Amino acid sequence: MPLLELKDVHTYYGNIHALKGVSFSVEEGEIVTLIGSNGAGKTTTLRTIQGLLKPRQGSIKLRGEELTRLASHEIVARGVSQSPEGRLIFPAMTVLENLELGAYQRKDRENIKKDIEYVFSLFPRLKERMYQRGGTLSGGEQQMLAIGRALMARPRVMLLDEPSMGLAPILVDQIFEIIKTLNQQGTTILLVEQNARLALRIANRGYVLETGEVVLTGSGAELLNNPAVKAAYLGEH
Amino acid sequence: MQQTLSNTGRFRINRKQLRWLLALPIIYIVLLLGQPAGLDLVRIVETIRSDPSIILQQLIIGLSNGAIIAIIALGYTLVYGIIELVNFAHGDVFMLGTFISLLALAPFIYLTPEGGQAAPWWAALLGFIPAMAICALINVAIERVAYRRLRNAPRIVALISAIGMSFILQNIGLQLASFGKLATVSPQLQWLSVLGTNNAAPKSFPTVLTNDNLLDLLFPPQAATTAEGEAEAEPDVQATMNAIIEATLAASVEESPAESVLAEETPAEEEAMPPGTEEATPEPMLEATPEVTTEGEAMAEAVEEQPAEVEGAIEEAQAEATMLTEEATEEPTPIEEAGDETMPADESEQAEEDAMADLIATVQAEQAVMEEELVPAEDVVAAGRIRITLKDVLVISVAVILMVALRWFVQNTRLGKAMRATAQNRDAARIMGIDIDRIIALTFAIGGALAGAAGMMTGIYNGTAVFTMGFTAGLRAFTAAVLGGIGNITGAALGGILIGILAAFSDQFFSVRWTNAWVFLILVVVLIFRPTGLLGQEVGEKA
Ligand SMILES: Nc1ncnc2c1ncn2[C@@H]1O[C@H](COP(=O)(O)OP(=O)(O)OP(=O)(O)O)[C@@H](O)[C@H]1O
Ligand SMILES: [Mg+2]
Repeated sequence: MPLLELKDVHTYYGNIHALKGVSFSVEEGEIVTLIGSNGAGKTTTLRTIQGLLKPRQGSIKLRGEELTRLASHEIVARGVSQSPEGRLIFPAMTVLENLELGAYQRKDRENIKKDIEYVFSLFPRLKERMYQRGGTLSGGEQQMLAIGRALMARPRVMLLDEPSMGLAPILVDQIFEIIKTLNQQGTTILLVEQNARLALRIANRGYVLETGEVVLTGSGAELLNNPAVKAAYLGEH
Repeated sequence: MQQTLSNTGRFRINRKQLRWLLALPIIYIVLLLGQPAGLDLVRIVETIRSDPSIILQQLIIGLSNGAIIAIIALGYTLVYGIIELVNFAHGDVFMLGTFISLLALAPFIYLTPEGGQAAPWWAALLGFIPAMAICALINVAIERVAYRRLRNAPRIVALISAIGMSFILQNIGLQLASFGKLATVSPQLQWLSVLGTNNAAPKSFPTVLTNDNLLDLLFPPQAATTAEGEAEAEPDVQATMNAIIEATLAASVEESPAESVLAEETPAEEEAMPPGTEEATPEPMLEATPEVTTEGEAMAEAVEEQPAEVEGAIEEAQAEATMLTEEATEEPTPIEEAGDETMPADESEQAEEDAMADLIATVQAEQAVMEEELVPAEDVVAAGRIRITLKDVLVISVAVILMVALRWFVQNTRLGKAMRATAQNRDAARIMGIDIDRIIALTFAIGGALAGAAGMMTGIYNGTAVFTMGFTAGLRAFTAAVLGGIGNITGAALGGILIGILAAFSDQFFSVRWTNAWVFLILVVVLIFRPTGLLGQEVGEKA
């Protein structure tokens, strides 16, 4: 049974049909990437999984349990967390408070301190800025905080929405290294990226989304070599 | 922010300067309209010169009223912080809180030897519990019914819903008093008589704490002013006068030369008191007694030295009382408003009843005003001595405790952090796994509980409950919240105290009936010149 499975998911914004029957799955321990151009519906997909948007039709299952009927906080409690598009750091709260909020739904309070230390070991920059307000962090630091905060939930599957957005190339490489590390340590990851090349390189499998529909799927390497993908997303001819 | 309106060379005026230019017409209007609004500088200077301690006294009164305003303002600011809605019904939740407080005290009311109604202090402290709990529930229900579904609707829609809710609550407050009629049904329901028989009339609280001056207890004044309880307890100016005369006669037999120095000042001070310098606090009628007695005592003392002047003073007091009676009649009493708004006009029987109710309430209001007028008279006796009562102490301490507790809760607890998170970014809060519906309900519950506490504080301090009181209180509290920076907890506390002091000074030095206008002026000025308030932060950094 896949860890996360979407079947024929339709999501609307009012009358706008944003997801037109999206289906895909993520197995335990995988990195799966969702690529597609602007407005393809990647963010919409992640928000729908998280319960921030309710699909009008279709099913989303986590280890066989239906998520579409649950409220977002219940979905978090079942092990889905995300680093959202735009990072959405709490600007008036310290780095530490932001991290603590990431663990809001956890029952094992005693391990939280240990996990904060773990996040700090991944991102030493955050430790230096522990008591600084989130709003005063640089874009890169905010991205680290968003990922760290998502980790604090000890998720079964972590959704990452464009973690490379707006970062200097060297920082992008660093973040992708950390994503790989996290995955090796056992976190399942669903990665949404504009930077298709990087994403497909670290992903086990990928799905190509176009105007709300999955048009192509395959392993990371397959998609990297697919001529259509090359033309549309990798800037090659 | 350098937004230039005109780029044509020399005359570059930016927005900021333009706003300050706007200040000129406002100052002009204040000076122009100031006169009728009580801005009579000569009188103000006279008043202060005759007794500078009056400033300190008004500061204390302002602080106590400000503490209450601050507690109400917290409700506005918390709710605004979390869902960007001005909860117009909040003032009315406070009004219901005052009624609930009155009902909570009702079963414990006993008659004092002076014939007044009183309730034990512990009943008031216990009364905080139902007042806060019920108001919390009411506020949560309001959110559920009137706001939750509109959370993603345009803001104006929720605002209109809030105004509608305010009307509904006001009418509930008006109808609540109908239960007063049940008092005659059975002896078990006798306690409901605190609600009276006239829905719209102001209800008096029993005395919970006296007006005794703590400073007198701590540092007894040389001249003993402890001859209380001689005169009859009757909330009536004629009786007051009788008491004065009686006391005068009584004192003329006794000899108390030691007190003559103090007494000498009395008539002069009386003259200096302009009409309409009521204290900000409408005193419950029953409390007039000790004041009257003390005044009588003072008069009595005066007799020995200058009997003629005392007579003059008494006459003057009588004249003043008459004037106030006229004033009171002019003042729009809550009853008149009620008659306009809520009574069906086609029922002539009802109308007649209303007319009677009007009359009764007007008379009551007159009496209240007259007795308010009598309060400063005691200050006159103790000229140069300010008065701090147990009421001040209680109200301010309760406010401080509540504010500190709230701040601690919001800063340190898991739920408090969830509240702040929800206020800063609702979507991010949901991603963290925060049940924002629950957190928003919690915020309304806290705001409601604070409104309930403010209701009991008002009952103890000011001693009246009227179904329209939510509007004025709400206006002042909302202004306080905006002044401090809406969404900011510390700001609400600061704003509340500032508005309370402003109101007290306006009541004392300008005119009671213009106080709300001054408060409105502050609101407008703040919104024009500093919309983020005194402690306002950048957008997104609220709570
Ligand atoms: N709040 C909204 N209201 C209406 N339409 C929306 C809203 N959010 C997204 N859409 C529309 O839904 C479609 C999918 O948007 P989505 O944000 O999921 O795209 P995306 O794949 O994440 O794009 P990007 O790479 O630019 O982030 C777009 O056509 C977009 O215009
Ligand atoms: Mg997106």
